[in-house]
Amino acid sequence: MANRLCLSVSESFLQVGLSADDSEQNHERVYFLPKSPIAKSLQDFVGYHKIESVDEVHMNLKSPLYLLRKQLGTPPAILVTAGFEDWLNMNLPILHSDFRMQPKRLHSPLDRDLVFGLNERVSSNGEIISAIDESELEFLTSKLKMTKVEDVALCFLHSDKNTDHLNFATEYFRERGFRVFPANQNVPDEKAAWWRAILCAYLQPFYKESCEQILELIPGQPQISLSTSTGTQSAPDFFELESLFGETYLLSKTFRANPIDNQPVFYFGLEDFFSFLPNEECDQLWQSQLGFVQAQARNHKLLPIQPTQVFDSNYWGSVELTNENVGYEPGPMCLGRGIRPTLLDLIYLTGSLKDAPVLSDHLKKNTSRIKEALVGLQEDPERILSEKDVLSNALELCLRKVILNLNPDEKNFFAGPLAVFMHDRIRKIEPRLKLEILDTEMTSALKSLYSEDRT
Amino acid sequence: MNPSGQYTLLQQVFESILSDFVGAAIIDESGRALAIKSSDLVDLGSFPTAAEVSDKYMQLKHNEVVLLNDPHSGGSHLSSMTLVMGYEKLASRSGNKKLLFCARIPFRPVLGEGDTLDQEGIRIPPAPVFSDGNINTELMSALLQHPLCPEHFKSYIEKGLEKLLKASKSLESQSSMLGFSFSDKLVNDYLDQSHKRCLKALDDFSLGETKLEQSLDAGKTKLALHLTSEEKLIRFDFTGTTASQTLHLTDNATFGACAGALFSALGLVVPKNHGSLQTINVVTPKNSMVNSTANKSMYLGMTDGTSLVASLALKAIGQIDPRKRLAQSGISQCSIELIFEDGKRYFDHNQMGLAAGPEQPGVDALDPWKRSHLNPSIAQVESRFPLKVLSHSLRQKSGGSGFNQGGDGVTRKLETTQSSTMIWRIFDEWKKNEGIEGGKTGSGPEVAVTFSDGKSQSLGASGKIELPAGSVITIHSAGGGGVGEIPKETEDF
Repeated sequence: MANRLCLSVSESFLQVGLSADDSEQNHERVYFLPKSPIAKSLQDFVGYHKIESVDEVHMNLKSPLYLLRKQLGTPPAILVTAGFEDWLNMNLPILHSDFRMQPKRLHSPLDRDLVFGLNERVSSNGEIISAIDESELEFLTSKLKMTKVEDVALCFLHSDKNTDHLNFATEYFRERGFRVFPANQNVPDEKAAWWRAILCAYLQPFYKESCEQILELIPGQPQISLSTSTGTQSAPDFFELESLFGETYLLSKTFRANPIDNQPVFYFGLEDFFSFLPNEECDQLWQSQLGFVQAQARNHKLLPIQPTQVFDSNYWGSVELTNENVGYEPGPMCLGRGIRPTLLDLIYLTGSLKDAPVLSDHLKKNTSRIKEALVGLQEDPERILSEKDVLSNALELCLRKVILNLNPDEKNFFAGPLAVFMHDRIRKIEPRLKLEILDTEMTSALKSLYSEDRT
Repeated sequence: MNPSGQYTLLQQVFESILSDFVGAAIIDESGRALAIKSSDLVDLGSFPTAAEVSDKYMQLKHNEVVLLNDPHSGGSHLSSMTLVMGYEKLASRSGNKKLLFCARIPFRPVLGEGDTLDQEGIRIPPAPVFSDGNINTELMSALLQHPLCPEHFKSYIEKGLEKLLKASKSLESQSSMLGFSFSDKLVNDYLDQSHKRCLKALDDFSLGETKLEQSLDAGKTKLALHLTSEEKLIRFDFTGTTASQTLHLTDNATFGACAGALFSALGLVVPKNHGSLQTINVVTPKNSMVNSTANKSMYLGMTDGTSLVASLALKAIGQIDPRKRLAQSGISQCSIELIFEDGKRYFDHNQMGLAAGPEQPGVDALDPWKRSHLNPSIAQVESRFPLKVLSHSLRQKSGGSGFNQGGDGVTRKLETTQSSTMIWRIFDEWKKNEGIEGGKTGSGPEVAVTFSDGKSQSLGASGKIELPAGSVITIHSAGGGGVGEIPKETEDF
């Protein structure tokens, strides 16, 4: 009898499922991580179901994506062709689309003190112009050991034309105990390849720690598999960016069976709202917040509203969602955690969260506080709106932002735990739109994991 | 939905439609901008003129498109094409009103070897390029045969047309899903409210006036600005400005520079439309540097020139309202063009160090007045051109020191592996970017060449030079000025 444990780990939720060969029924539970951390949650699940041994663990790790968005990873050491130490930072996106007296670029995830130029050079036709000097590598090794850095990304120009330097340096640093992430370029732009190597190194410590923590808590000597953009495979020792798209792969698999042609699915989860095309093939480039990154990525487009974005007064005096996303730390006011109203708080006021999975267990009765906070944001000098009007305008604005992304002529497919809410409310204000709910589960990705074969 | 909600959604619709473009605008048939997405300062001022001129001569129907690049017809410099398309689905009491979509299609600039406009590219007055679902193949064929026709011209224009048609369809479908009527009354109210809210934002500005003068072209040119901040208007009066030998801006470009400077100083995101632009009045004497009608080369004026005007405007704003004081940012993009013996042409420009402010240091290597930047992949440059990029890095310590340091500029080193002709255009009149309140000046821009025999030559502001293979070109862009004195203890340390 084989036991398979399936885990879907996101920033604030842990979904656990147990599938056994000798049982038709799967056992599932969703834990709210701010209240019940991973260790406690897994122990609880294992204990409750009296699991003595697990043969396989299939994981979908979404948490590194949030870590990346919030820039909470561990900057690695970066060895780059000398003369280009600043190249990536100089190309970071500008934060503002409008003109500012002091515009800013996106904050760099790199630690400039850990970026080292190496005197090596390969030409555009693969010819070695300056060979690597081993004494320079030796010097860098001692510097890295002093800084106690364990992860090293190697970013050399034209490494796709001649891999000698990359291979040599990779071997050199691995032999000396470092985890090495070489930028194996297979796209025209070296920046995309360099970012890949760096981000893999950046997320490696978190990935390693997460996998070790989970393994410690699970009885037996299970084989670990990880979902990626192209399928589920043996969990690698080194983090790969493709695992950031595991959820989209699993959801695509779930919904591909539905007759939806090439229409996108709009997923309304408790942590994010996004659209994706279940039948689409992977891209070779991922358009991340840092720019293009070499990765086999699934098309996954965040919608203009998110459940834990906060409201504020906008330029016109209306109460509108901002781009600031507070997540669940501190989180929505309705959970008694945050002090600024979020979209989830507005949904809570409509009474639609009382059946929401997991969250319904943690709701606090602070309706009046939330209303006060929302109404207090309105600044329209032309008229003072009633509380009812402020709230209904705020909600309609949110819904209209989603509606502007829908197809007016074709059917629009919704999924996720908040799909019913979005469906009903949008239908109320735009009855001519064709909407269909595919699924209202929070655990669709988890369920898809049960049937995953390792590739 | 209440009016402020409607304006929010309308702004959202416009922004989403224009999001696919580098620089674009939606203009009504009275020439009022409903929304502008600007990739640079020129866009802010020139799109309404492009729309007005195109519709005046062509009477554009729904989905008919005109192509132009003439700077005096609402274009920018000649390497930047503009498409203008008619849209006739805006409901009004008297039947459908027309809107005009404008989109900028940038190409690799040509610096031109002389000082006339025609040497910088083909000059295209408004010409019909698309109607009844078809491209004007005759026009396209004629343009493609021109020796200065940009590379990839046909494919980029076709892509631009595709995007415009998509935008037209998008506006039609999104306007039907707003939940309220997208009528010309709504548009009028929207612009009216934009004006009122921009005025409210200006309430925060100090009232007053100031005069500034800048000497250029080794003292032969005067750039004069009299800035007046009144209750309902900010006036930028350039009376007293003379003609220049090197910098030529259109009045639209000057307007855009002043508008960009003002909006940046407001410190909040203002929708760019006729309503907000009505709060600005710009006076530019004809045939002066800031309203040039001569057949002179425009590239430097429409790039470094607009940056210069915006910087001067910001300086003046800082004099009236000290809370807005900043040190001086780098101005010049340090543009170079290499024409190789095999016919390939390589163009490059660089970002500069930004001024420090009272609250924070200057940002490194960031052009404050451009929203799309040319930073192609090193690997691709070396694969396409007979060039070796030796380095592209921050120009260390080029920002002026101070309590808040100015931003560093950029150092770029290129080695040619084939003989070539280099043309360069740098505005270096502001040799040092001033610091304020005790902060030091930032370094000025520089270009130099080192030949294969080791000899070096520092180059002036602009020119042309023959380079043998193995020459190394070093470009240093300017650093920003610093703010405040460094505390003595830190200095001693």
